[in-house]
Amino acid sequence: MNLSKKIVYHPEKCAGCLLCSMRCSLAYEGLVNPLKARVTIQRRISGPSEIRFTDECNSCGICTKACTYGALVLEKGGI
Amino acid sequence: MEGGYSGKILFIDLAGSKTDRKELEVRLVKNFLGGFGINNRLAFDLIRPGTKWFAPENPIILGAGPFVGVLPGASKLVGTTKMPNGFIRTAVGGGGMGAMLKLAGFDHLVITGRAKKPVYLKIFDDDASIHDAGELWGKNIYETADWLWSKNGRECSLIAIGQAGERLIPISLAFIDKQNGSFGKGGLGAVMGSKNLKAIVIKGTTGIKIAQKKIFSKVFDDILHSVKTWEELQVVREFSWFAQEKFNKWTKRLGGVPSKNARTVYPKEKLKERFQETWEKQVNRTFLPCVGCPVSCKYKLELNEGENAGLVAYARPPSVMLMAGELNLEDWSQCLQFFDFVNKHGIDRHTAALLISWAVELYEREIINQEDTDGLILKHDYDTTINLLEKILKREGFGDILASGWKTAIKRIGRNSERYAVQVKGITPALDPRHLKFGTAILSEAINPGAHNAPGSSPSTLADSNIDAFEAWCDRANIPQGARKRIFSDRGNSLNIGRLTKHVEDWIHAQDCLGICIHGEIQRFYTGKNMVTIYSALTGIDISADELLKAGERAHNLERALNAREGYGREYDSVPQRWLEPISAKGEEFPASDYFETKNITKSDIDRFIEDYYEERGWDPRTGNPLNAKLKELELEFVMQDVKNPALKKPKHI
Repeated sequence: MNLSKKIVYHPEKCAGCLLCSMRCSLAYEGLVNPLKARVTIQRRISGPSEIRFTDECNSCGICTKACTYGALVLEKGGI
Repeated sequence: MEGGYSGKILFIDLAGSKTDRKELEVRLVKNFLGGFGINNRLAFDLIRPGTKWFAPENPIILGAGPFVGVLPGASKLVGTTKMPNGFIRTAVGGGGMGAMLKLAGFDHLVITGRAKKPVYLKIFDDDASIHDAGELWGKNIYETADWLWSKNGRECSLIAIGQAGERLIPISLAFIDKQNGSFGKGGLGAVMGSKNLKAIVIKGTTGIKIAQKKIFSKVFDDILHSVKTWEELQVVREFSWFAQEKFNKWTKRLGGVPSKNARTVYPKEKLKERFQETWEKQVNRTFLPCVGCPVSCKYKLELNEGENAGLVAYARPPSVMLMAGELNLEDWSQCLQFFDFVNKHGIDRHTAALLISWAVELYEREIINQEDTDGLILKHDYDTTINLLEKILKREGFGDILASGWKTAIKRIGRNSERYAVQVKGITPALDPRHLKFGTAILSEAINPGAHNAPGSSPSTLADSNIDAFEAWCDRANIPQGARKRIFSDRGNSLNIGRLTKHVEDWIHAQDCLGICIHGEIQRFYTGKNMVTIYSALTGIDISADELLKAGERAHNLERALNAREGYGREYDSVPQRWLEPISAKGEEFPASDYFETKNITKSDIDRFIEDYYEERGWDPRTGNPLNAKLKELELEFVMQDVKNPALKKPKHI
């Protein structure tokens, strides 16, 4: 866990594009696989938006750089 | 291939419940890239000339190119089949299906045969199975999608047809992920229906490999950085087509958009009052991007006032404006009810709209009367639209005539009704040269079997760009200097649309092979240069920008050859008669115009555009099909014999 940063997430802003999961899996799995990412998304088209993080998430913030909808934001200053 | 491709093609025979898997050969990848290119190559082997669209052996070939599911704005699934309009054509759709197909381990899926009873297809990684869909048959697309997600999990992606596809209505289509992407203009929904195939549901967990992770990650991040810092991003998202600048462009020449069978104009003042100035108050909007899309051009629209408050429909803003205009709809409530009806039942809204408007014009001209229309009085209004849509869906009386699509409807009505039909090759073109002036997308619609109506970000579709914008596009797409000389100065024109169209199409088809969205909002982030870097980093295969364009050209020529083999050629490349007549607007008459509005466009001008296009393509001006020299250059020698001596006589002209 990265104590100096935290990821603030806003499901109501999540459009369900999965770019965060794609980028996370690319960084940590070495391949693109949204279902194996440390941040997983339930797409809005199939029901309510949901954003979940696995225990392995270290708040590196790479997912926040991939989010263009303002649903994931990296904030500095502890958990 | 070290990455990008999943490496396999899945074959499913619905009749025998058999599945087969074949390796995706490197040879195929090198010549045809993926998606549209490989689909056409498979179609050449799999679609026997003369195959009927509803025949069990007519394959549905789905493909997702190497960029799909791994890059921003690359979600495109392409579907190739013999369509009800008689042509072999490819539909393109978004959503998440292309990505899921690849995550399940397949680049292409080929479905043949006809199930004895309604079924749906389930592919969970390598496990492909056929399931009873008796419970789903008769349900609309929304209900079907929700049912499939409830049974199989929300993370699945799916394609489904509605009642229109089940009833083999040739103007039906399928939808991806409920309403995340329409799929199959030309009648793919009916082809699925003919196979008793209600839906396909896929879940993939395998992951897509990347050959050079570091380089690939950088370009991935660079593209997203460009999106985030793009100054127009928020404007685009906030219903850009109703934003002032684009709205003004679309309404500038005619003072509105085409209406009433493209005879007159729905005035911009009314569009402003009924739609532009009311959308913030009357409609809640939610983004619905395709998988991997950082921009989002699609919306879930919910009416929040009036007697239909709570009504939900899915639409792109320009479609709202064009449909409201064409059908003479009065407000958001009528417009969203129209979208709700066509989308949930799986009807191609655009073709349905023009078929309805055509029927109204025939009625007004007394070519048909109440005896033909089952007693209905036809007007350009909402009530007529919904009444006819309901009859189309039920295939009831006069509705059955319209439901049968342009070719059959014209034949059944007769009485010179073809003259008023706004169609090319049995498909309604999305654009009109009197409205947006004669650009490349419009010429493509005249020539190809149901062309893309998006321009691949060529500046020529949305008029009013200056000549510099074309030069800039040529730079971005890496168009050769020799071609630019012909495009910009041949025959003394400032811009040769026929020649330019060839190069725009090659560029678009390269994207269709790779899987990139061709809407301008995404296209602006891809160039010939960065695509080469991405392709090599993703797949481990080196390619040049010239080779990318060449692959697009090869795929396009192969599609033409597929249809040449069916007997099609020059005489089928035409425009609707309506485009040759002026449209009434602002109390004046507006003929079709050239791009820079320096002259009116006549039939002979269009013939010249087509001749220039053929010449630029290396096609025979007499037959309209590729010459041997071009086929040789593109290493398509295997189609030469079929192009020269088509297996079939010429199909009846429509």
